[in-house]
Amino acid sequence: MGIIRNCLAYLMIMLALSGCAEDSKPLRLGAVLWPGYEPLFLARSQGDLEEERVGLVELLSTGEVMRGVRNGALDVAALTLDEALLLAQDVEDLKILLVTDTSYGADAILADGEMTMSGLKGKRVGVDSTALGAYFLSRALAESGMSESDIIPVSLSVDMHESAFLNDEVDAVVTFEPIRSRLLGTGANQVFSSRDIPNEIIDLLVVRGAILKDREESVRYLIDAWYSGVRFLREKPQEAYGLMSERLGLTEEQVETSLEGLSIPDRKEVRSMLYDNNGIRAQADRLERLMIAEGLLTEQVQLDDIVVARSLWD
Amino acid sequence: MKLTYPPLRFLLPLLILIGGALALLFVLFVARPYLLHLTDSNARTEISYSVNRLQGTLEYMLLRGDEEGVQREIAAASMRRYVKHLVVLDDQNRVIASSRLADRGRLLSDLSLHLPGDFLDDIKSSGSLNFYDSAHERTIYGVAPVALPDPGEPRQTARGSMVIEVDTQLLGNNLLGRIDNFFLWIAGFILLSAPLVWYAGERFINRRLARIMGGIEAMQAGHYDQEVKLGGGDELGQIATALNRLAASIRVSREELKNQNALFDEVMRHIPALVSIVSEKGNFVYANRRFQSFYKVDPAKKGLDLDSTFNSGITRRHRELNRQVLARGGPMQLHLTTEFEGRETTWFMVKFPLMNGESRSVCTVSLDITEQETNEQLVNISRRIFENTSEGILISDRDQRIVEVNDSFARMNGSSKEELIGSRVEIVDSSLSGERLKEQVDATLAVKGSWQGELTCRRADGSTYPVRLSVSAIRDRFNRQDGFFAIYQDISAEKEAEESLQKLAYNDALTGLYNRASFKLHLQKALERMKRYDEQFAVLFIDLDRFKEVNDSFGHECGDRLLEQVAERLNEQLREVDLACRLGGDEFTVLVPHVDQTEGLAVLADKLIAAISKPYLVDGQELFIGCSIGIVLAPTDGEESDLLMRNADAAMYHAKESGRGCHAFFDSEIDDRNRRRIQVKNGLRLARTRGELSLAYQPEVDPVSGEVKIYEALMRWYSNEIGLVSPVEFIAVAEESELIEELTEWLIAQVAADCQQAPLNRAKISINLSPRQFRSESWLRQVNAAVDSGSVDPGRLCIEVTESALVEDFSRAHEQLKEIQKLGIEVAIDDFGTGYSSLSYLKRMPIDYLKIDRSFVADIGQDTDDQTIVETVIVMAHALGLKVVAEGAENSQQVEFLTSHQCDLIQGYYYAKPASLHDLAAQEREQLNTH
Repeated sequence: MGIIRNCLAYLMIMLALSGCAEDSKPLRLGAVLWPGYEPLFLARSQGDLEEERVGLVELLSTGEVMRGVRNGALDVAALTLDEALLLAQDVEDLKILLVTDTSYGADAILADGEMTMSGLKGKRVGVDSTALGAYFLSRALAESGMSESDIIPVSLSVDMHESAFLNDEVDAVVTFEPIRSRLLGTGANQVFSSRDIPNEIIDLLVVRGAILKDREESVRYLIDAWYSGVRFLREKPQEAYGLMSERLGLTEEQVETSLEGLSIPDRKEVRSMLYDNNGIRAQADRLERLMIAEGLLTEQVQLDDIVVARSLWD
Repeated sequence: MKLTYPPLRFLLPLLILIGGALALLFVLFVARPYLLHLTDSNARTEISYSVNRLQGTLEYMLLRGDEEGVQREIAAASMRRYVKHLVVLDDQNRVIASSRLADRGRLLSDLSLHLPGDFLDDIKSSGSLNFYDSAHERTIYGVAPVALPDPGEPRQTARGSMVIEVDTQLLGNNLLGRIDNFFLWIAGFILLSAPLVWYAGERFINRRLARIMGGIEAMQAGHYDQEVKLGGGDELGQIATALNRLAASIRVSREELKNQNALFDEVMRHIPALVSIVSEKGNFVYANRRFQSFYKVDPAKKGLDLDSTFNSGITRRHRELNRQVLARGGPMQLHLTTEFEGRETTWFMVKFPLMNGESRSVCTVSLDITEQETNEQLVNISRRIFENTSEGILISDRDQRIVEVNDSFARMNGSSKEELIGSRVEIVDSSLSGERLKEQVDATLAVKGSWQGELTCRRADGSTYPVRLSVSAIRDRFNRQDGFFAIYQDISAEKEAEESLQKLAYNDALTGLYNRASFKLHLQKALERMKRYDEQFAVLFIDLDRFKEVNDSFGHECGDRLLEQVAERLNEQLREVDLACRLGGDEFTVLVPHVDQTEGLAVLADKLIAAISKPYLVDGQELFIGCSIGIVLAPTDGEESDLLMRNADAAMYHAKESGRGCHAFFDSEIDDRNRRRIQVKNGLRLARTRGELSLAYQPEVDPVSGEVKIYEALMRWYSNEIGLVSPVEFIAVAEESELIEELTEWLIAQVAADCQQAPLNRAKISINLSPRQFRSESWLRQVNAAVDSGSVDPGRLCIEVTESALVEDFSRAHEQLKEIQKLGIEVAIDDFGTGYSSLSYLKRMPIDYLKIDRSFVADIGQDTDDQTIVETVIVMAHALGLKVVAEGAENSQQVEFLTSHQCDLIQGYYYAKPASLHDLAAQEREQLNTH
């Protein structure tokens, strides 16, 4: 019996080893340039996010991020809520991992000169064809007592926002940081911002459900890394701004300004948004309805367990 | 050289462990380095392709100034997992695009790449992709030159570079790690499987092998009935199955052997013969139990030889015979008679040689046929009995076909044996003996298996004969009737004898009519029938009249002939159903069944009387008899045979009394009278000794002188039981028997005593004789004796007889009366006129007086005819020289008439009533006194 016991022990060790080997593959996290996502990079720069565990892939458009997730090249993605819904349409087991930030002025409608919201009536308003753009515009119009028919919407992709506005191809543009800061720097007038509708424009980290099963530890590691980045931003803002400005292509002041338009909730707040006050779920429902109305979503997304299991947070 | 293999249970796991270890070593020292090499070269090829592709795209974009596109391409490419860092550098080694946006615009030296600077320059100058291994980082750097527009010389291209940092572990070594894992798993599995195999081997092979071994050991030990219980269709299972089959087949063979042995033993035990096996040398090898018990020794067990078992004579024979058998090599049969312990036994012996390899022996089977021989003799005796017995014996088969008969049966049957054998036979011929008997016999045979009885058989010629048959069923072993054998005894003679005996017993030898016994039987039967069916029947009691006279006159021979004829006549007159019997003597009865009307009986009785009264011719003599018939009817006149017979007898008497030659039905009056008659008869028998008899004397007076000439002695009987009985009654009774003689004897004696006394001593005394008394001489002897003794004076004695006495047997009466007259005794004819009153016998007979019957005297003065008769008689009597006495004169007119016609004596109440001697004496004394 001694032999058998030894054999079994040996087997157990090997099983343990093989499990480690499986989790040793780094998670791939795709993100575009967005100040709200910067704590990730801050964490990496501070060594709190090891490349061997979570590889950060810096992409230029959310389209590529979403493609990466769809094709399985990426495990985790930094996306807006509407993008997450869109992606969930294709990736069945997509889960919301955490809320990175909410827009608190980072999204805005900018117009020429002394124009106000009401002045936009009959004007050309550039807006990208994303759900966020449509949502933000419709919210802004609704807040000002107008409807979409009161303006002339002009479809503009994000990279076109700046040039189209500066070249007067549009009278106003629905845009967001860092374009917003740059355009404000050129003398553009902000007529509406997400500060008017707080907690409605939400940025998230989403994760493929399969990853949660296989590599839960890495996901926990990521969450911890995120909050260490957030802590770094809070505790050493100037150092952080310096690091961020390099990546964002902004001055430290601009970084500070752009961050003012964002609200980065702490761990407790995020937890309550995800699980307690149903904030995420309600907003997702609202957004989903709009997206279906706009034809952006072809089918209803299963929202019941769109959020990762609470146990991950405990 | 001898190899010792480790036990199977350890061999397999050991082999596996060794194999596992070898596999591990192989993996570690051969497969793993090879795979390392393989993945490494794969990685480099993979990087080459990626770099090559990027190189082209980037150069294209850079030449067009699309830095944004370059950055996008770099970002997209960096999505690959193994890419740690991807940087595009210009000719000044400044970052144009990077997987990290923050790197842009920085110098290579500021980046965290550990590339030696000259390596980059080498690449640029060489113009081709090259790799740099940074082993401690587990990183490969792939560096390739990139053409980019020269900012100084618009038409020239500068040479930048592209650096890709690849995590070798993620690229190929990761796979290696997995392979390691895989091999570890396999090794682990092998190691783990070793004990499993050991266990499985233990469980599925060794234990089962042990069972098989156990089974084999059991078989070795001779236990073939233990089955190796091993499931599964594998080789071991098959071995076990085969082993079981083997065991079973051995078991069966053993069983068979045992059974055969047992069979042999059993046969030897029960074979009714002595069986022994003797070796060539003469030693017993085997002797069965019967042999042992016969010779009281088991020679095989004690190792005896022939000499010590048998006596010398037998031994020599056996040795000799055994030698012959062995020499011949075949069996030999013989009969041999031996003597052992004084008992002689005849054997049927079979000897045959037994060859068992080298050893040769002789088996002897000896069957004791002593009894059989005796049986054969018995059978022969039985056969002889069968052939020679006087009884007919018949044996049939199941189909009632005759199998065998003996000569006696053939003779009895009146045919030959050849004809009989094979023909069908019925035990009971129902046409002769009736269907019922046949059924009864069949049933008895079926139940009891045998039947005895008498029946009638038919001969071949159709005639019949009675046999006593004893038939027994022959049954087969299933107890089914398989035929029968029958023993026939011809009892014709016996039957005839029996029948004649029967006749003797039940028929009257003389007449052939039924006798008394058989009549009683028939009467009994008739009574039973009457009681059962309410059937009235009658009995006629016939008594012949005057037969005694015939018998007396012509002898018994003649009487017998007469009776025969009477019987014939009776039979002629009777119907089939009527039954005539002769009770004995001259008494006959006829039993008439089915009587409806008594008139018919009267007619029948008259017919019989008429027939019997016709004259008979016997021995040339013509004889006349008559008969009287009494008739009784059952059940009216009695329901028991005795009573019926008594009443019939009474009726017959009545008929006889009523005048012979007639019939009378029984009635109660007859009965009463008969009772009276019997009383009288019985009383009369004792009357004399009891002194109940007395005499009364009536005087016969000479009317002229008035002198009493004769006193008529009249018998008087006063019975103490029935009172005074009239002489008419008791004389009639006495006449039927010898009592009359007794009475006469008493009468004579009494008269002799009385005649000496007054007034009798002065007159004659007359005594009456019954006509019956003339049939014998006894009265004559009595009178003679009285005269001889001197007690009676014959001169003073007178005998009175009636006419009928003379008529019945004239000659005898004549002789007797003559003899009386010789003695000097006078004879008077009493009651003259009532009978035949024949003048011829009056003339011939020695008669002294005629007594005119009182009926004539009574009519004197009233009937002139009777007066004339009286006158005539007196005249006629006087003419014949006879004196006349008139009886019953009661008045003077009668006395006067008689006196006037010279009647000699007158008797009657006119003169005196009969009176006793004592009274007469008293009267005389009185007259003397009055005188």
